[in-house]
Amino acid sequence: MLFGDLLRLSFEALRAHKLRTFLTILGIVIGVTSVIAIVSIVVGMNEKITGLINNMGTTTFFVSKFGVDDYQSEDAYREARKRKDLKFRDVEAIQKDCELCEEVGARTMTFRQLKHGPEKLNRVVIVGTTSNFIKITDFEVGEGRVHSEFEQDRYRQVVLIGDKIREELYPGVDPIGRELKIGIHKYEIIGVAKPRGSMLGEDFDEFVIIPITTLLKNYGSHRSVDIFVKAPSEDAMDETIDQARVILRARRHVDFQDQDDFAITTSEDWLEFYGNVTGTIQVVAVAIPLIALVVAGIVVMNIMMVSVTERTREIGIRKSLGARKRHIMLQFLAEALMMSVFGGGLGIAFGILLAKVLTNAGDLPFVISEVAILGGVFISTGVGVIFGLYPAMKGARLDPVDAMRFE
Amino acid sequence: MLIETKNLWKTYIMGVQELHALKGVDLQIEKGEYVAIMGPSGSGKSTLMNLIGCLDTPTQGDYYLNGESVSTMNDNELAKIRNKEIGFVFQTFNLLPRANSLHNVELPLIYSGIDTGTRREMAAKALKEVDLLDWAGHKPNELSGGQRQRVAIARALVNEPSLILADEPTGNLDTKTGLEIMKLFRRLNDRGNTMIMVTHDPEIAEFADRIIYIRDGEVEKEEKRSGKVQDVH
Ligand SMILES: Nc1ncnc2c1ncn2[C@@H]1O[C@H](COP(=O)(O)OP(=O)(O)OP(=O)(O)O)[C@@H](O)[C@H]1O
Ligand SMILES: [Mg+2]
Repeated sequence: MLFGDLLRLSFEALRAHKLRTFLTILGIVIGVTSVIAIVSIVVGMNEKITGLINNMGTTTFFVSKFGVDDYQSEDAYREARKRKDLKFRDVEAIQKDCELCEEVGARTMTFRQLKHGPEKLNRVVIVGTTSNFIKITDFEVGEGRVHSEFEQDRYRQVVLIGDKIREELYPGVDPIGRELKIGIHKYEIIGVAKPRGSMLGEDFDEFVIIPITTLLKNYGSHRSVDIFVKAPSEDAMDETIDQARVILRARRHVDFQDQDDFAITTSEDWLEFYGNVTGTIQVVAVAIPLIALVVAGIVVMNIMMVSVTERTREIGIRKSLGARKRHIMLQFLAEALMMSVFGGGLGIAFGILLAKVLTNAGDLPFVISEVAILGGVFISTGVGVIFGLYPAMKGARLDPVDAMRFE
Repeated sequence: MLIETKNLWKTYIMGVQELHALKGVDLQIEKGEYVAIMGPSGSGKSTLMNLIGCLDTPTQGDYYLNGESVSTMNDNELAKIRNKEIGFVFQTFNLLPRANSLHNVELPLIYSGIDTGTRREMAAKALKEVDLLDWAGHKPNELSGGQRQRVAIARALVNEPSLILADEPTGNLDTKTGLEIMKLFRRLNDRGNTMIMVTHDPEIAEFADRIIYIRDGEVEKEEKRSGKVQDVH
């Protein structure tokens, strides 16, 4: 039997049962589309988060009251809460005594209401930073500038606002030089950050940045600051961390046999933490459409079974004319495969489209994942073969005499 | 010798009960012969035809076709024999309803792996032999019973088999159409085709060289006929 004959035969059979063929293909399309879309979103999310974390740089580490490990369990968190806060004095001490530390900065946060004239924004994150903070985060200044060391030292009430704040409180006007009320204090706007977009509903543009000294003075100094340190090189990371650690341990009177009462976190630790937190979610997210595909496969099998039963007589006739088992099996398998490959192809196309729309909406990078596409091809043909095989074999095994007598 | 069966048995097992459809059939049919098989309903005629046509295998006994032992062949070898050596004509025509005449006639050639061009030619030639070339593009439901049976005959002829088997080929046709089919069979036999035909109708059996009577799964008697019916009224 020629290959072309096989294809023509299967194609004719599919065309003769349009609705059935359509429904089967639809099932496969839905399965493959969702697999590809979800894999793309997961990959995009990973990429984004990895990007954010790597932005911090491989030569930078954080010193803070809570480390990633302290969020792993409630007990660990409760224990960590008993630690002494990290103070701005500690930052200054590291700045002064740590020779390897190339750049030392700090950040702390609070939430306050923003006001401009009659317009208000509630619970906006107020980030107090040292003036060098811009060197390690991923936000960029769009217009104006961030506060200087001079302003920081003098507790100046100057503020750089996120793009969302500009949009909400200063629509259609240049906010630079204007006044912004944070809580009860008045600030002068000196800069606007470049928009960063949002991810999964979280807006990255709704924040303001003020000098850390101003924040501690205006909104209370009973809060812990996060310290960041930049090492001269990746190779010098460990040594730099050690220097900073020794200084802090001495200042905080940690006994030599005791563990650190603060946490040091590198970008590697963050990545690991992220992987731990999201690993299971990702597996589940990919598993669900896979289940959908198995269901689609069972639908294919069912429909092929009906198709075989319906064509029992035809199978008998073909066998009486010299069709071998193999011919009958290939005929049905080709039908299942055609539907799966066609459905798979459409599913890949729709999947990429859907992934594009969703990543766009979620402000994620759009990555055409080869794994997802290869997976789509592989899975859809796999579904065709695996679930088409049993009905095809059943058809091929029919006895010609019995089959021809079938009504 | 084209066909030789030795002590052919076919037993169907239904639950605990054994049903012997054939009980030791010995047959010899020469190349070029035209044989009719007659017998009461349930006597085993179709069972015998299915064995001769390699659609089924005997429970016991030997069957030689062209000197080759068929009883020991596997599925694929049997399929090949059906494809190349045997043309089947059934009472119910057994055409594919969705395919036109030409495609129905083509079917055996598809399984021989013959290319499309040659196939078309061969199928058209076979249709011409049964006088249906003008109906090549029509589907079975657009044809009369006699025309359908002629398509089926063209299909049986197309691979130039050594043997044409017909199980009650006129059973679903009126007398006049039945006689037309017989005229066609006569012609095929005169041309050298070996024909074996099952029939209930003594008038139809008249067309054969030899009549084999079957009763209860056994050959009851044989009747050689000298004066063939040549003339169809
Ligand atoms: N697949 C089968 N399973 C069980 N019994 C069968 C089967 N096929 C045939 N038989 C039995 O074998 C016997 C012979 O059947 P067969 O079809 O050969 O008779 P027949 O001579 O062709 O009859 P008819 O003239 O009615 O066509 C019958 O008793 C029938 O019931
Ligand atoms: Mg019968």
